[in-house]
Amino acid sequence: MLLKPTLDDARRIAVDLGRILAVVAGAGLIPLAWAIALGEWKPAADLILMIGVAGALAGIAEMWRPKTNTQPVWGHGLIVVSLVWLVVPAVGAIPLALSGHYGDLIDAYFDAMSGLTTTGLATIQDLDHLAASTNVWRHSLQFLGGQGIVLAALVFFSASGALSLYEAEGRDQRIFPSVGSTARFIWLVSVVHGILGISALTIDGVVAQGFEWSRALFHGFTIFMAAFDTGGFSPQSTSVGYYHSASFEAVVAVLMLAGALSFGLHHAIWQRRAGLLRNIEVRTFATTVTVTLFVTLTGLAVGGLYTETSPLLRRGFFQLISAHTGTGFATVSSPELARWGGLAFAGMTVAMALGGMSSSTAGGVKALRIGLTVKSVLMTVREALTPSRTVISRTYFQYGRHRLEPDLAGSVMTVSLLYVALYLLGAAVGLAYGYGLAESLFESVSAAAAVGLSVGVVSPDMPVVLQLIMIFQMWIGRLEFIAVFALLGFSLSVVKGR
Amino acid sequence: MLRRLRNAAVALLQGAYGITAEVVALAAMFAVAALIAFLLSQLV
Repeated sequence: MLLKPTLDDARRIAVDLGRILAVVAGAGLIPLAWAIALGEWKPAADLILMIGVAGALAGIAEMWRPKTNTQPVWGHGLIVVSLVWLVVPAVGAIPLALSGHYGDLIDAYFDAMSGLTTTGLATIQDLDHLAASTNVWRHSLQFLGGQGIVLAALVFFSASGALSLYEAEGRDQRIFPSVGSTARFIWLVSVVHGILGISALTIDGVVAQGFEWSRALFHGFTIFMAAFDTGGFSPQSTSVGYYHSASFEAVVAVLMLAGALSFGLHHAIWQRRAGLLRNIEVRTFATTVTVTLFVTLTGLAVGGLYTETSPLLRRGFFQLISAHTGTGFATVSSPELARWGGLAFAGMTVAMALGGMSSSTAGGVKALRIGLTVKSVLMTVREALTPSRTVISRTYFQYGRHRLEPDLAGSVMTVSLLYVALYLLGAAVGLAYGYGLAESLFESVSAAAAVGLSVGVVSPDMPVVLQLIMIFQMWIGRLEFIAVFALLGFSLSVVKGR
Repeated sequence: MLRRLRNAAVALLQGAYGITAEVVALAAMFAVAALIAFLLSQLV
């Protein structure tokens, strides 16, 4: 925490923010190349404007460097990260707002925030006729947010403040001793999954759906980015349901799962490390996926919406994996999803709230926190039930045995409770606007846990206050609270002048 | 050059192994949940 922020603190934060904006400007070159190749000149001009604004802000920040050589601290990283997720959507929304597919600026900012936080909720109108290059930019925002703009900046600007930025983003598992090699490994995992995933989706597009190679590649590329980064944006308004292909859905399901696994686990699998099945995060995630899948399938089976087994299993499985990994792809329409009701709806909502693994692109409470909370509660109960002289081992296994210290248990439960409070906040606002309890809670959890599934509340006509609340939920949910609290503390310190 | 190609091939093979593990895990979770749900739906 920065108790006495100085002008140099602000300059240090601005420089880091500027460097990240430089990465955003660089990322804008990909859709720009796409626009030029396809002759989409208006979207190209919009993208050039966005690149210019991001580049200019980065240049100004670079000129405003700190006068003294201050070392960045933990608080700097937290504040930079929380500002990144506010400023980058504003810059990234420029091509969206100018595309003519959004009702107002808030809609464009909402979608840019949704993309960057890998949520996937959308208020875009007439998506099916959006220019391909603008669509690529929407998906690039998800890829940037998922891979972590900060992480990209670490690779390109291996500055002395790298570690504090990396930790502030919530990616607290250092796979290698240096941040640079950890970042490179994360990119390697993404690139390898990209090569294999885009190839599989493209081939499926050509073979199963009769697409031309260029069209199949476009769909494979955009769907891969949204699946592996658990984002959920789709180039078509009917999401993955557009493809009507079981094999396509199977590939997407694997990519969604891969995106929800921690990069530490990817490393452990690649290195064939022993003890993976004892890992608390693996056990928790496997258990919650199986249980919520079971609840959802049972709900669908007894609900009677689907009379045949095959569509029931296919839709239930895909939607649950999409919900639990925080992706938000859909093979059923919003009105159809709203009709699931009862147990199936509850299974989906709980799956969204739980989320994926830590150090992944998924949102939600996260498997590690759930596992540690359950473990802590069980140990407390065992201590209460056994004689006072009995020693209960308070340990857990995650790439080695660790002690479950009271401090750790306390902080895990605090963040978990904050997520529950965030879910209830959005639900309460939804209720105030007259939506039903189930749909208000579903939509609120979907936004706060960065999922992106919708039963119809999120639309271009949604109330502005609810839209702003959801922007807040996406922002604070993605940053897992602490970085936002640091920004709040910094702002208060500036105002109070202490 | 040869070493870089070899490293790239190793990374791709490791990735393919990882994806195979992901497919197996997904299939196992699906099989368990679907089996229990099917049995339960027969009882209800």
